[in-house]
Amino acid sequence: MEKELTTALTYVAVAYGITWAIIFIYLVFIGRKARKVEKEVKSLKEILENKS
Amino acid sequence: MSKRDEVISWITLGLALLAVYLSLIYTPFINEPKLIPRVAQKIFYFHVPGAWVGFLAFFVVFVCSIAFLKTSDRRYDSIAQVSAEIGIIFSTITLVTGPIWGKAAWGAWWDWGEPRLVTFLVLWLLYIGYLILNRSVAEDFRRARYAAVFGIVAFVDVPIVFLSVRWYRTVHPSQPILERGGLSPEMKLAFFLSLFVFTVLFYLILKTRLSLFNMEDEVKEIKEKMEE
Amino acid sequence: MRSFYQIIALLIKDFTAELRTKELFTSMIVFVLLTLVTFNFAFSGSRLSLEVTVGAIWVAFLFAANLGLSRSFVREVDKNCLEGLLLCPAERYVIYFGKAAGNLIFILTVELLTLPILPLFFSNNSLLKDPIKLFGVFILGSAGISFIGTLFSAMTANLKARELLLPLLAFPVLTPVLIASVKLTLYLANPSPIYEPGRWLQLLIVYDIIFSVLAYITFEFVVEE
Repeated sequence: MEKELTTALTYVAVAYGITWAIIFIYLVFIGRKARKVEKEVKSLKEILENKS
Repeated sequence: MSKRDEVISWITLGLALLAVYLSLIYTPFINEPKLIPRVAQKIFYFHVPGAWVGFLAFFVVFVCSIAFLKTSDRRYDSIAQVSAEIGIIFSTITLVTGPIWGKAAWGAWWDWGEPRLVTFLVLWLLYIGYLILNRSVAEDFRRARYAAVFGIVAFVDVPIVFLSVRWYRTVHPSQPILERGGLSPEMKLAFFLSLFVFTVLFYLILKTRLSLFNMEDEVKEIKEKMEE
Repeated sequence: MRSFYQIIALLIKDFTAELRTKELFTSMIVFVLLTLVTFNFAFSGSRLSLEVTVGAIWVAFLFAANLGLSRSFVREVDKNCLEGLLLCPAERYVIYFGKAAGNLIFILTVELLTLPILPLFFSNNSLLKDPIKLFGVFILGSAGISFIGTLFSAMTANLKARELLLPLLAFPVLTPVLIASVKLTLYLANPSPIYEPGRWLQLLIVYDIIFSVLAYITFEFVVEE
């Protein structure tokens, strides 16, 4: 009984973990991309200012 | 992100935590003699909303693909691309949690006779193809047109795939545990809350990713102009 | 009617080109044989059930078709003939249907030429029980493959990773065609109602209609410059 409960709870825990981990990782991926773009925009602005 | 979206984000985060709590604690066990399937049924509260958002996202791809071919408006192409990416993320959730549930409920990780499972795998492969196609065409306008054509063909194909994998095993598979007796009011609350959270999440991610996508595009354009 | 003659003209052009070199026919037929031989070794030479045999045959056909389809537009692009083709005073869909019909005939020819050898390979005579109906199944199945394949072939012909991308895009879309064709072939070899031929026949016909119409509508966006 107890062993079965542990197995069942493991399944549930793994499924929940994977679900939110996938969403979280994707959000981190977007965040990193956003930072990269921000950096690029900043450097572009600097270049443009130096030119003018 | 606008002020309004920020407020929505925080509310969604709260609701997401509430949905996790409700699905774990609040919902009663379903009428099922064996212990493992009875507990593992809780996977359902994220498995099905993931599938729903996946379909929704691919439907958005379909609609935007048609709109793009009609109008040649670049905005539709951006929405389609971003939506396909998010659809892949959410259908991956469904595709990974499905076998875990299957192992608990039927004792097998995978069942080629379960049409929803197999259709979802084909659906997933179709849109992986869509993303790869999007990344392998250098010329921008051409890429957008190819992707739109493929986005339409892929979406039209899905119901036919579903029918064919449903028929291809002559022995019909056992119905998943959920359909035995339906949902109690508590389960419905947890389920629809979870569905709502996932849908709002889709909207938020779509909007954020889209603005980022457009920014990347602009940076690329400016860079190209500077090089000239 | 004009479009019809134009499609025929396109067909004749493709066949003349092919008959000069015969590279496509030869390699497709050899490829089918090679796939079947490989299957036989992979299954350790055991006597195969009808299901496995029919499945292996259709997989071989699908791969060979993929080979032919991937060349279909590449030949035009490589020799810069596509522009010429597009400059012809013909509608875009004429080019599509001309190419699709050409591919269909290529695939069918390969299938028909390998068909007599199949029973030898698999020591299974029931395959050829009803050759006329079997030919019908071949037509419907190969039509599905060539309608989708021609559309995607036109898309991928311009790309760097074209040989790679075509099966990646086409195979998932073709899942229903493969399942239905296998079921119908099985039914013809072993007429038992468990294969439910009626619904598969319907599915295959509906599939062919839907995707030929869809390709008819979308093809102009694929070749537009």
